[in-house]
Amino acid sequence: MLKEEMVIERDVTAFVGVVGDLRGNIAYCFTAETARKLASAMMMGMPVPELDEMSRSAIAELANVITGNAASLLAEEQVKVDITPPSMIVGKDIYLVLSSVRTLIVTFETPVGSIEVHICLEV
Amino acid sequence: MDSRLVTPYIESTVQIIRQMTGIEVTEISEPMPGSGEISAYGVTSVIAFAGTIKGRLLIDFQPELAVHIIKNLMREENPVLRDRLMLGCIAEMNNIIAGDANTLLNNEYGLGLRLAPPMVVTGKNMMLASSKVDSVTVLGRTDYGDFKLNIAFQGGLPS
Repeated sequence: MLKEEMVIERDVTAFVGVVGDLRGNIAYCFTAETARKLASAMMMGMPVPELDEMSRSAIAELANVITGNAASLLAEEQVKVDITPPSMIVGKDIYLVLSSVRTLIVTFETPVGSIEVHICLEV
Repeated sequence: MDSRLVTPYIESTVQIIRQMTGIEVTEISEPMPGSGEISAYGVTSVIAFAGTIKGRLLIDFQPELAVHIIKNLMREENPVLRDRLMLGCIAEMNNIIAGDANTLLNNEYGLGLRLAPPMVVTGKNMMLASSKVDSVTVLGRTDYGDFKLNIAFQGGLPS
C-alpha cells in the first residue's frame, strides 16, 4: 500500500530514524493490546497488564533491533545507512505525522495482533 | 549529562521560537536528569540524529501554546491541531531548532550529526519513551503556555 502522506492513528508507535544513503523514518504501529503481548513475549512471558516504563522501553528496543538488522542487510547491498535512537509513543486519540514523503505500509499478521510497518523514506 | 551537549538545544529553542513566532520564553528550568521518558502535554515533536554519537530532541507543547505558535507561523486564525499541515509547522520548527544546535555541535566537536526527518504527534495521555539513552528534561514557560524539552544522547563527548 503506497500513501502520499503519513498519518498514524494507532495507539502505539515506535519509530527509528535513518540517515546516510537513505533518509527517513521507519515506524512500527500496533494497538496497546498487541504492544503489551509483544513486551510480554520479549520478557520471557512475564505478564504485562499495562504498558509500564520497562515494557515501553522494550517496544522501543524492538524497533531499534529490527531497523538495525535491516541496516545491516542494506549494507550487504552497498546501501550505507546509520540509524538513530528509537522513540515510542503510547496514548489515545493519536494523530501522528511522520513527514510528508511517500510511504510504503506493510502489515504483518501475528498471533498477538497486526504490526503495521510504515517505511517512510526520501528516494 | 554533559552541559556542552545540552546548552545548544536550549538556546536554539529559545531563539528560534522568538525569531519564528515572536513568542518569548519567560522562564526556563535547569536541566533535570531523566530516563528518556516523557509524559506529554499534548503536542509533541521528536527529531533524531546520528553521527559519531546519536541522539534525539523532543519538544512538547501544551495545546494552547501549540495553537498560538501555529497561528503565528501560518497566519491561521483558528488552527485545528489534528491537521497534517498545521502540525507540520511544529515539526518544521523542531527541524530548524535541532539543525541549528547540531550545526554548532558539529562545528565545535566534529560530531557529523545528521538529522532524520521530524515526527509530530498529538493525542491524549501520551507517554513517549526511548531505550538506552541518557537524557535531561528542561521545562519552559511562555505567556501562552508551557513546554518541555527532552534532550537524549547515546554516547558523549570526550572529556
